Amino acid sequence: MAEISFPLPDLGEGLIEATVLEWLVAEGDQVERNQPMVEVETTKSSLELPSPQAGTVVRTHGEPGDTINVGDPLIVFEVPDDTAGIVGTVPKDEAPKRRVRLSANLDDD
Amino acid sequence: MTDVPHLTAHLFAPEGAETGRPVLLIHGFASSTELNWVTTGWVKYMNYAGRRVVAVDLPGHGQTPLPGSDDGSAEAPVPSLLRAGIRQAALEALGHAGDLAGAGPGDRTEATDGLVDVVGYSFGARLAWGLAADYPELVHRLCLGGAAATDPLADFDVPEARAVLASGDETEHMTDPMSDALLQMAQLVPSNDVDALLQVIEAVGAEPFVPGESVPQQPVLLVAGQRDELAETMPRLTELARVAGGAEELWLPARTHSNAVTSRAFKQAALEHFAS
Repeated sequence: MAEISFPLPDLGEGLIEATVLEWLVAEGDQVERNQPMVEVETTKSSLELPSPQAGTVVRTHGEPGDTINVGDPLIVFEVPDDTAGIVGTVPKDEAPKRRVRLSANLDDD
Repeated sequence: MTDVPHLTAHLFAPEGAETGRPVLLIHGFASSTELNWVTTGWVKYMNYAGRRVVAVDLPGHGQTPLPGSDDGSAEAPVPSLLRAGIRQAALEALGHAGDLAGAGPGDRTEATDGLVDVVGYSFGARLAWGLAADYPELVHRLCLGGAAATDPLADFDVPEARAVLASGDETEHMTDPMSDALLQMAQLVPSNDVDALLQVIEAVGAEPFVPGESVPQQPVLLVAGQRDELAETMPRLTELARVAGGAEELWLPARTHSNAVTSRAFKQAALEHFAS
């Protein structure tokens, strides 16, 4: 098993930090990808962040009321070794199956 | 005015099979069904749990204009009439229009006994408290969010607020900070009719909240953010309800009056309270 740590993502709009309001997962929980993970509040709004990863929650950072900077650790997952390292999928390098030929239709003017 | 006001009710049915009682949602001052319950995930949460949801827009809020606003004689109903209007709108929306024997407190039709569980937030909690006391048979269980045992709206100086608004000067503030915060809230949502909201406040002041006068006999769950200054007096409601029908409190860490509504812990606690 391996551990993957995720930082607080860039929430856009120039926000540099967020306050933890409510953890929706706890240490030891098995979570699915995209499952609501934590509700945080910024100076703009409060929002639920989805889990970026399926796995077992090892650690959460910040109690309700604590402020976390964008880029600082938010949550750590334990995942099987063969899934660690890469998040998401990488396009396979193979020959395209279908070709589209573009040609000018000279009759149509 | 003594007529029961007509309130717009919104009905949200679960996609799958319906389980449990319908849940009646009553929004807070300067809010609406949409803002208090739809965008915050309450309707979805309750629907997902199999509950049908009926939510009302209070007069001067959301899709309910003040009575008489079409002919220029707009007048906001006092809280007792609001409660009668909430009952009427909820019963009609739930298909019990025929069971509306009357609108006065104590009027009862057995067909609607224990018909709904109720959630009220802030001013809506104050109304829900009275609704459950006025119509003890209608309301099965009660959940109050961000509730105050005092009456922030009754202490509001409406003429002063009108003067501040008329000045057109954004740096002008009301003397009482709580009133000033309420006035800010009223102006926060662009679609709000501030003048209608001031009339609502005036009408509320005509029947100040005295929670000890009519205490719900149903089990009550009281929820508030730990940083909710408006709800600092909530424990007084808890004490009153505890000796009546039983009460529990839930304090949400780090939450304020404005961001406690989205809390999943709040929604979950309400659902568990209704199901127990």
